[in-house]
Amino acid sequence: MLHSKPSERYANALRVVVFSIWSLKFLFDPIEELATLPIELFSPPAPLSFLPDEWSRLLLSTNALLAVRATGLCACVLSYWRRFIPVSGAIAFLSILAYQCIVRGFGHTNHAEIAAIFSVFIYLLFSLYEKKRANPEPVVIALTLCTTYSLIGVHRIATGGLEIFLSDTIVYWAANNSSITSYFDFNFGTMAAESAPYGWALKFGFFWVTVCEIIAPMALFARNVRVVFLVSILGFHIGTLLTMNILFWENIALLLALFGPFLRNKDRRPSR
Amino acid sequence: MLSLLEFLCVAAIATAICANPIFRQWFRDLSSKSQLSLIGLIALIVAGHFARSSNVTFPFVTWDMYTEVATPSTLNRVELEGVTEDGESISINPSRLFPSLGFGTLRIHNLLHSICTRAMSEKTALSESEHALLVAIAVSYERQNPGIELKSISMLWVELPFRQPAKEPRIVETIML
Repeated sequence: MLHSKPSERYANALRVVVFSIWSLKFLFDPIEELATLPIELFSPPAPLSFLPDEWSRLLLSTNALLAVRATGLCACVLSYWRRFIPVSGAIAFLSILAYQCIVRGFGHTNHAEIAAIFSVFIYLLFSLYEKKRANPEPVVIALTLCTTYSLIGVHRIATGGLEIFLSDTIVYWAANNSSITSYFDFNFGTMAAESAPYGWALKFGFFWVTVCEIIAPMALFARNVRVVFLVSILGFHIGTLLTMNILFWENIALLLALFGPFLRNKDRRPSR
Repeated sequence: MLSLLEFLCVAAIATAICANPIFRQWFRDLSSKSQLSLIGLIALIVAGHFARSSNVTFPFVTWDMYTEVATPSTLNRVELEGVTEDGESISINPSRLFPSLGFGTLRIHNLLHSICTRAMSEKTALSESEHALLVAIAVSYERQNPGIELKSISMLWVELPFRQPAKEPRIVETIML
């Protein structure tokens, strides 16, 4: 099984990747600008929604948002070192949760960020209980990430059936999202609506990716599945950027870190 | 019924993982608290998915991306257009003004989209807070583009027949600054 006995070096590298995802977000995402938006439109999810409204108002001030950014960044950088995680990991997790509730409060859930939140939570949780050299986190993170893909795939089949692949659903989403004024402004999705072969290729890709999502956990156990899964899902994430202007860079980073170095090597790697 | 079927599929995948001897050995090597933590985490992820209420169970959310069949006749989107003091029209990209809500996601566009569809379906003007949102976007644009002053900002609703030529956009609201 992949990562059943990860080397100390790999376990350390993966931890740096996970916390770097959030360090980069805290470093480059100017969340303090959200203080200029009207608070009446702010509708945060739990657990922030359980707090009194006054607390939300306080949290949405420029200074408080800057404080969340600075605290989160420092805590994530400190969490590169395993010995700090019981404290810095807890602060990092709370900062990330606050940050995510804030941006979610002005919009929808961004699924690209969820597996990265779980990864930080996993480091925090297992740092409290597990022996120092056991390093179970890589398996747990990989399992969690694959579980989320499986849930999507199964839900898509259960809800949409075959019709979701045979209808113009994916062509419509691609064409519609391509036409939106967004951060990246790629518009390859409009081509799908204009070209029948491209539209069919998109539909087949959608079906293929759904199959790969469902069998995602098998990528932990079988190298051949791992190669197919990684190539397909990375292709899918690049495809969603080019056709829908939605970027899953957090998932791409996790996928490359978890599966990328192990496509050619044997599954079992001795501990150092 | 569909949820039951979906749950059975998820249970089958979980059984396949648990039946793997290497996974079982790895699981046995964990401390009992770690075993409980892992089971609890996966249970929360699955429970959050089936609860279908991401707002309450966040971050244990429903994984429902591109799962609804769409039977579209039109593509639709919201655009923001500013007019400068010189009378020049400028396209405003709110995702770039607020990257927290726009980098890699369509959060701010979807927020504007829901405001626009509500205003059109209820045939009412924008509320005070929705008005304030457009003003905040205009102010942010001016701050990030020194030297440009906006006189007004308009929210446009653009409908394009799916796979057919474009139509003229409809102006939902123009706000004088």
